Amino acid sequence: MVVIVVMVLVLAAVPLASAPPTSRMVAWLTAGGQEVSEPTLVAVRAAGQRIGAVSGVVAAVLAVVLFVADVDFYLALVGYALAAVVGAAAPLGGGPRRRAELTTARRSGPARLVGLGVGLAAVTSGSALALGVQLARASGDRYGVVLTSSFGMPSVDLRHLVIVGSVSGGVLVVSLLALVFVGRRQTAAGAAPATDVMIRRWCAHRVQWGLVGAQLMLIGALAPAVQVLSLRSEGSYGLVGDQGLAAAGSAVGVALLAAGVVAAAVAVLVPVWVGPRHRMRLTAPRVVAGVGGR
Amino acid sequence: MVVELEVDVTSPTPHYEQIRGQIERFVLTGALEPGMRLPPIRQLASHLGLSNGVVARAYHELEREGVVTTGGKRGTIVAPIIARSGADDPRRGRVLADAAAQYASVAHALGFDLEKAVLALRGAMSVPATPFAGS
Repeated sequence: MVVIVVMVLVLAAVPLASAPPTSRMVAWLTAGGQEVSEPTLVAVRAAGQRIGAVSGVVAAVLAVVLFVADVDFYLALVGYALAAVVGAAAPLGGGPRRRAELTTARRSGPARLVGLGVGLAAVTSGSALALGVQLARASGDRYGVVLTSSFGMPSVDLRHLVIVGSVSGGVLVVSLLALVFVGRRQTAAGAAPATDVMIRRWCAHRVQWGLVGAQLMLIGALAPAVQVLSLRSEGSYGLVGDQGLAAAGSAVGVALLAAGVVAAAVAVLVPVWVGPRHRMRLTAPRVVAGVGGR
Repeated sequence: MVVELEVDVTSPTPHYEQIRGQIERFVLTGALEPGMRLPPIRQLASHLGLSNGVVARAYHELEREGVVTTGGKRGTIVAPIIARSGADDPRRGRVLADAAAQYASVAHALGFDLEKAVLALRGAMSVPATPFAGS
């Protein structure tokens, strides 16, 4: 069992914290219609290494914090998605020659995913708040009410609901800031503007899917709490909920957690580690002015 | 068509002047067509890793020279009038002088004298499609 856990951790950590193989980078650049020259590869590889390094450091720091705080396992999964998001916002610029594209104001990716992430965050935070209020009301004078869940999902209490709601809001804020930074940061060192646009899209994709993955995991962790809605008093101190609803909520929670893990994997792996096959496309002619001025 | 701007932060030429000169050249040579929208100041500045003031000053100079126009939400647009200017336009002469200076420095670096350089230029201008081979 320990061996399997270690293998899973290594498998998850490698694509998160390291640059994709050169062959995959070549395939990705070719599919994007880029001329694959050595300077381009060096620039993209440097960007990938910087993104991976920052992701790795964030993941390591979060792992230590979560281990020390002894939190539920789902927060470790959320931490993985968050590390992918923060790593994508790593600064990549540098060098004495700065380049930028003048013609096309391209957006960094589909806004629908961001909308989905914001919607999920709103549902998660709102639901956590509403269920928390409902739980406090149903608990009455009882202190420290804890509701059990099925399928290994975390048990539900006020602390759990507060953590889920606040982490959801925090992940949303970090992701939106990361998206803004990805759109505005300096052109990647050594990369032509057209290549830089591809790197920005890659990073935006990572942030968007990381946001959606984290929110799916959080809403999954929240799902067992729907049993709060069925709580009723029994006797002076007893509090009884619908077991069927608890089990259904836990099952839905497991499914949402799994969906969140898949989304986080998409964030880290697509489009470079796992991407489209080689596709030839004509490259747009480039016009570059010499440096100088008057 | 992709038009790229490049700023050398180690060059003694001020950054705003490098931006202004290159955009002016792009407009005069037709790489940037009239009506084309330039990137917002903040976006261009952040992509170049320069302050907003540098790009704003370059845009201001270009607007003063009539190369671009700025208008609220429309942003900064390449002016239509400059495309119709003739060869006697001093701006065109300035851009040509810049290009000539660059050509001269390449010729010097390659060890060619004025006569050889002029010869190569004549060849290039009479047959524009033939690339300069350096001899």
